[in-house]
Amino acid sequence: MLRVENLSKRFGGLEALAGVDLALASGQIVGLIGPNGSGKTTLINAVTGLFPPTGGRVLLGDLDITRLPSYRRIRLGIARTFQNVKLWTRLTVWENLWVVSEPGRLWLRLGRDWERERRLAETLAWVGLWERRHDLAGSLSFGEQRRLELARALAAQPRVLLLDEPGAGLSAGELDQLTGLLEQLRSQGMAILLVEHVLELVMNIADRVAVLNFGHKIAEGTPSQVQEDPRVQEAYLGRRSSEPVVKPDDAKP
Amino acid sequence: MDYYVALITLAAIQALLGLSAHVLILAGRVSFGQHGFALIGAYMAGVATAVWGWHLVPALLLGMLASALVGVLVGFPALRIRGVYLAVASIAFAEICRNLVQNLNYYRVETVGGLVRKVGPVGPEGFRHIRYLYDHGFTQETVMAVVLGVLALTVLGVWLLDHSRLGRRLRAIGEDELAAQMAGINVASLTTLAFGLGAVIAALAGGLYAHYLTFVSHEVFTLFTGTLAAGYVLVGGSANALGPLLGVAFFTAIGEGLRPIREYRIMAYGALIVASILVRPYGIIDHELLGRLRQLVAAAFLRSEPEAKAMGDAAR
Repeated sequence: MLRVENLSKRFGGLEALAGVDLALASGQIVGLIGPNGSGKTTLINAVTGLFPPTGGRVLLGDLDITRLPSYRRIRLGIARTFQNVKLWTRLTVWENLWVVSEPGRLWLRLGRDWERERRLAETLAWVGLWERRHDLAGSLSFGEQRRLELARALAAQPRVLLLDEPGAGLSAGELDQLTGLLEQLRSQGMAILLVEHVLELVMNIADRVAVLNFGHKIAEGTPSQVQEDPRVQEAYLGRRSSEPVVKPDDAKP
Repeated sequence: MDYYVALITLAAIQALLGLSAHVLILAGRVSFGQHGFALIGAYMAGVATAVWGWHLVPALLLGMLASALVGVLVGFPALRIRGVYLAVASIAFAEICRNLVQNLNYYRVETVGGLVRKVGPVGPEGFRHIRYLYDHGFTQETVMAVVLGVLALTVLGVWLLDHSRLGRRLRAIGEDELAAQMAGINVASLTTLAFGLGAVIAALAGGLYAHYLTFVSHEVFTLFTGTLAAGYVLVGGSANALGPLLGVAFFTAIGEGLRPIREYRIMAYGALIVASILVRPYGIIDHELLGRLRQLVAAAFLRSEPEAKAMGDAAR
């Protein structure tokens, strides 16, 4: 569904991404992990067109979207969330979704689109925020804001979902809830890229895990393969390969 | 009586200018240069009626069109700037407009009762004899009615815009531009559109002003005018299209109400503005007040609750 080929990004002298390849299929959750500053968010930003990559290609299906402006990429079916939640806090919960549904459509329309509103209502109910639809987004708790951001990403009916640390700052209960939601999305055929520091979440639900370090992809495989990979342990813990397997708790920032 | 008629007419024109700044503030852009667009509208519409002999309505429309084109032209390069930088750029733009009309000579000479007079922009002397309204039998009262009617329609238009998806997208851009861009909103074209719409409304205000007073010059549309336009929105509140109107009401009330204290007036004026910002930092109508009003209305009429419930059931 989404393919990243040899993607590079330089910021001055800093090579944030150095020829990264990554593929994401429908109905698949790919975890992307790596220490702070390893290029995970840069990858999402390059895929969504926040800045042009220095080299490489981004393909959605068979379409090369490397040079498209970001709003057009989103309209083609890519949605993302942010590491630090970015909602429109002075719009209501409902409006946060309403504004972005079918972003490509002409806005001139008389009356209401019931089909669309029903779909948005379903999405809101699915993340458990239907009862709060009239509240300003800024009045939600942090966990609720995370869920609203996920709902907003889904409002445009994407095929590819890029989640930038959706588990950060969530309680254990909220993490379970998030896991459940992501599993449902996967079963509906969504292609999900999960950038995460909470390794527990990634290891639980990812089908494959890729590891970035200093802009290079140093490993990719099933969660257990990656956990046992000595290069990954080194990236997270430093050079002492006699150390035990990476434990999620140790790897937290 | 004439005093109140003039006060209301001028306040309504100011409110139009406030609404033009409001449209830009929706998209998170504070402009202090809306008087530049008002000036374009005033001169363009004035030339059309006084020099070319057009009817008032197409003349005003021409002014709005010209201003919209300029608005889009300056709005597009201004897309990347916000905040203080945009404020300065907008002031610079309006100053350029003022300098241009200060050097604009485009008049016809007519003789009325042995007196020779120049009708049209005469450089720094300004633009006199925009007499369309008074040549066609309008009185101060009918002009006031027309201006109020135009204001009511504009408020309605801005309100509808604000509550459409387009308007909410503008607000989304104003709240968090990056999130808007990353949600598929075409930030560049919508922001340019906001510049164009703001320019149109400001030009309407300028055109009406020119025909009401029959005289405009580069000294009429000063930075003070442009600053007030943004001030109306900031003091009145940008949560609703009525905010700028309340802002105008507030400024007019303190401006006129303080006349008895004469020279202390300007000082008290400033103090009251500061006080209003301290008491209501997000304006008289802010989102919190609007939310409470909405709840009151919903409780009173139970509007659309069955339908909301049906959708809630469908969602489960």
